[in-house]
Amino acid sequence: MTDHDELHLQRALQALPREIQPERDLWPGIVHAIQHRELRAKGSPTVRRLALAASLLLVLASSLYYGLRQPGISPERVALEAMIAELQSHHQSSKQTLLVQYRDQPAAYEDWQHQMQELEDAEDAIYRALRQDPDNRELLGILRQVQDKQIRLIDAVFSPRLNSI
Amino acid sequence: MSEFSAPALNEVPAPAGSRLVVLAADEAALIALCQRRHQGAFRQLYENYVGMVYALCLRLTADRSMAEDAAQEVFIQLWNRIESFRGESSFATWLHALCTNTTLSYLRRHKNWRQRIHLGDDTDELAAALEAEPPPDLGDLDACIRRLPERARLIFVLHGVEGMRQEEVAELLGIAPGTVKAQFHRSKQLVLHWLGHSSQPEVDHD
Repeated sequence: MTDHDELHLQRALQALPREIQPERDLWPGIVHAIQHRELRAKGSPTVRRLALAASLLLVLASSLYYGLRQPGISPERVALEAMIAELQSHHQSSKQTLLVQYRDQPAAYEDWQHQMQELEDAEDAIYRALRQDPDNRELLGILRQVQDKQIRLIDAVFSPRLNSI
Repeated sequence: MSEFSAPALNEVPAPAGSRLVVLAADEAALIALCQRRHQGAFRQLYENYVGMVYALCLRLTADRSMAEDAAQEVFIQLWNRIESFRGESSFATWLHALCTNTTLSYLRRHKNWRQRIHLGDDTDELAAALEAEPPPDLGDLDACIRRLPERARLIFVLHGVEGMRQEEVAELLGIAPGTVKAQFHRSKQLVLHWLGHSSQPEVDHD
């Protein structure tokens, strides 16, 4: 390459526009995503889990206290049953909050409610089994998985996709 | 390090889409407002920098649709990280680095990065292009940049257009500094060939 070539390239590089405007307006997609993030931050999984842990501790403590006063039923069983009821109530509340957040957004695919129904049926079956055997940790683990799947399904169906904005 | 002081305006949340025309000249105030989650100020910052960000995204991706997506990701990252901007460098420099990293990360996710960047070798492709007739539709340097093979293009844009040091480019792309040097040299030859200004193409196949 000669000096002349180098000089020509330098001039071409210097002449390149430093700014190019996109053909479509990118702002609506950006503001949509950052507003969505702010909403999610208010109800992030970490915050939800901490809130759940705190409420479960409270339920456990009060159930143990009142369980001691009920003859024929062990305090531990009363506490576990109360804890399962609290798990159910907390999950329903989290799910409802998410659905309210997404109420104005179109679903990415139509048969999501069928999938949700299957997950809810599985959740009900696990609750029924847990009422018979509230100390079954394996069942509790499966319950948590099924509940997480429901939340992830809602997120996947309604979360914004930049390409489509 | 400079400390920014935001005017009292940030106490009043701006409705989405509102514009802060009065503050547009005072970038430090604008940034301080953004750091306090003021969306109206962020809109103004977007207006000020979207041209610069999109230009870099477009040159790195060589694809209009990918560049639009990547530019959106850059501004979302900017909103998420602007609190960490402390003014050690100029805002434009800081945003430029954020834009480069975000766009490369976008490319890694959306393309077969490992094959194209780490394992792929553009040497033969560059040599063949040097020996062939220039394509007829390459009227300017940007068109030539878009036509370069991917690794060669990233190197040409980051080092040649944006002025990053070759060592920095090597580190960013995860390749050897010698590779950056050699590929940049060949890319320059090819671009000049395409622009019709190469006096004597040096073809080597190493």
